[in-house]
Amino acid sequence: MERRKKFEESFRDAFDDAEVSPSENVWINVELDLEKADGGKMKRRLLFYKLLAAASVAFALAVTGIAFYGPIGGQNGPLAERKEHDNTANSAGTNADAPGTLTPGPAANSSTAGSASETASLPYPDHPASASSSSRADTESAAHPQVTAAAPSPSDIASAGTLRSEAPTSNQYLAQHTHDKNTTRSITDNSNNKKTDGITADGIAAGQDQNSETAYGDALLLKDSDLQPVFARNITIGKPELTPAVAEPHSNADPFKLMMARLADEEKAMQKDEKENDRQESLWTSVGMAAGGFNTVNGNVSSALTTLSSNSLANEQIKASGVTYSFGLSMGTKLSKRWVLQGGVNYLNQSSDYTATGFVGDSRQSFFAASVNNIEQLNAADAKQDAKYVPSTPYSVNNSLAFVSVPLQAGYLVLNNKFSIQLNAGLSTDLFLQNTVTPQGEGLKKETQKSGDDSPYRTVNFSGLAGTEFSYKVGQHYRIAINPGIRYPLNSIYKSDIGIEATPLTFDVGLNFRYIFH
Amino acid sequence: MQNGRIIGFMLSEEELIDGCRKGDRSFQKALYDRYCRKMLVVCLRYSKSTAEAEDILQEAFVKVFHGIKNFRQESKLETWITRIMVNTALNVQRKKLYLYPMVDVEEINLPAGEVSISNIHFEQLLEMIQALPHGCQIVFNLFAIEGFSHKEIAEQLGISEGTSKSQFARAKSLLQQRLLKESTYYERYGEAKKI
Repeated sequence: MERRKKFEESFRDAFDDAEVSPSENVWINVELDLEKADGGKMKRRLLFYKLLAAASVAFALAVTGIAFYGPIGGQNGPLAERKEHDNTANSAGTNADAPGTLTPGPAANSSTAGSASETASLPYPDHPASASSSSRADTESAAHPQVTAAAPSPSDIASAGTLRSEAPTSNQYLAQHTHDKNTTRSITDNSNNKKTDGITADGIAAGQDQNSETAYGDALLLKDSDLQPVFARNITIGKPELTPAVAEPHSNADPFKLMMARLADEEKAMQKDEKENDRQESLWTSVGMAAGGFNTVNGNVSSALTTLSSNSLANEQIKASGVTYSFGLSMGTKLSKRWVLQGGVNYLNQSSDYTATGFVGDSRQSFFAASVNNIEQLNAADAKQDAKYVPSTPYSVNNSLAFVSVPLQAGYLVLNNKFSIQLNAGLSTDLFLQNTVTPQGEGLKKETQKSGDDSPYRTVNFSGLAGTEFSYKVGQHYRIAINPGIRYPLNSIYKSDIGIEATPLTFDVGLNFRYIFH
Repeated sequence: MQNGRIIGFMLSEEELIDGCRKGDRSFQKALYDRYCRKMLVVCLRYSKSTAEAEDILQEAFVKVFHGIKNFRQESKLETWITRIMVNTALNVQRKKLYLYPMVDVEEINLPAGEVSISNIHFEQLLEMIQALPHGCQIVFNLFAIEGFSHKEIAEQLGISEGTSKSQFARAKSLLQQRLLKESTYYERYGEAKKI
């Protein structure tokens, strides 16, 4: 027992003050990992601010949209309400407290049936037989008995409601009081429609809410010059056409019509602008560059590799994360209002560092960094007998892959304005050009392998692309864009017979300068 | 001192911890410089090669710098860092243990002679430990050097206590055999290792 204890303790003691210096790479990698983690935190923070900014923009757009499109989109309602409101404001003499006043008659609305028998009179002396029956009509009807209507017809109300919408009329306004059945029906119908068809003056006049009732009373206070022959007009039911009315040469042109005309003009102008915008930026070209990093998240080394050394090297190689950059030209066109198609040609470089623990040397005194390819070639049946793998202390090797990438992406414009946001997704055909293995060790030669049979990399590969493009129009023909995106190979970048599977996930951020042809 | 290079040994443990807690890279480097050599030996004991050990060292130091905010200073900083190294190494080796599960070892041939290691350089001992089979290597380290009980080892590695004991016994036997055979190690030490 004592002997056993002594044995274990002696081991412990032997390692008590033991020290071995690690390579410089360890700290560099620790530092890189720490920076990556810090970057991740920063990314999360940035994402929060991005989301906050997006939410703010969305809210601002929604508010602007409601404020801007609201009155035009809901022409019937808001305008009718506005008209009614104006009338109400002007109806100093009348009030909504008299629920029985100015109702279109029993046929129009049963709720106001009680007022149907009221006599109509005008407080305005020049209009002794005005159309309405107001609450004070009783008293005034005595002064103007000749204009007392036996029963206020809907046409009375209609005329009251449209007093301001036609040219000035004479004081024989009420002479035109008729019990025209069509008119009555129209108003009755309108009144049943309540405010939904309230665009026309008639509609407004026939509106059945309290405000519209006061509007009738308002007619009683209108000036002479504002009055107009109501029944000279065709009373229409339903949504009126927003035909741009030409301003009448008279100084007392109908302000309502003018307003409607202005709105119609504005709407047309907006539609025209929209169409123009849609037509804009239908073809463009851009020059851009991108930089980022890649990481092989699901690399796999199969047992097909013949030696332990090539196996561990392969592990090192495929798991190495690295940096990537690309630059190139692209073209784009708009397929529809929101959809775009863009493609181009890019030079793509992916560079990573891995640690090798040996090198390959031949009888010509040429020494190369160990890579999966040259070790596998060494172990192949037709290998050159003079080449050998020599173990060494660990050293760093840079492996740089060059591709020509031909991307084709479809884009959806989430926001299409001076500042635009576009979501892109598509495919890229990657043509492998060459890889360059650059050892950091002294006396070791740089090696470049072109694509072809000897290369462990596939000559043609396909990658999926996805990204977002934030762009800002800086002139009539120019747009600058930042586009973060990811690239993921659809199959391993290594040939299938090598026994290595690696699909490096790339994240990069690009900067594009776009020239818009038209 | 904040911006310049910090000489690690000039700083107290508390200063190092405070600096690292603030995320100051100079302090982190100073802490790394102070402990990296010792910790690499810990990592080497649990791995088969220097490259593997350096990977563990790197991963563990990143954990140290991330976790130092939570270090309550109830133990010495070195002890805490060592624990992180061991845990990181175990995490790495656990995957291998999954591939090569530990089983009870029945045949144990303990050498008859007395074996002394007092005159043997630690690097030779390290190589012997690295040459042990995976399971034996881990159990030997945890029991003989870290001082864990077999029960604790069994819990940590998800094996039975008996397996832990038998693995340790095998490790010990192999080491003693090797120590007896290679008593002239010093003469040969320094040759390039063969892969």
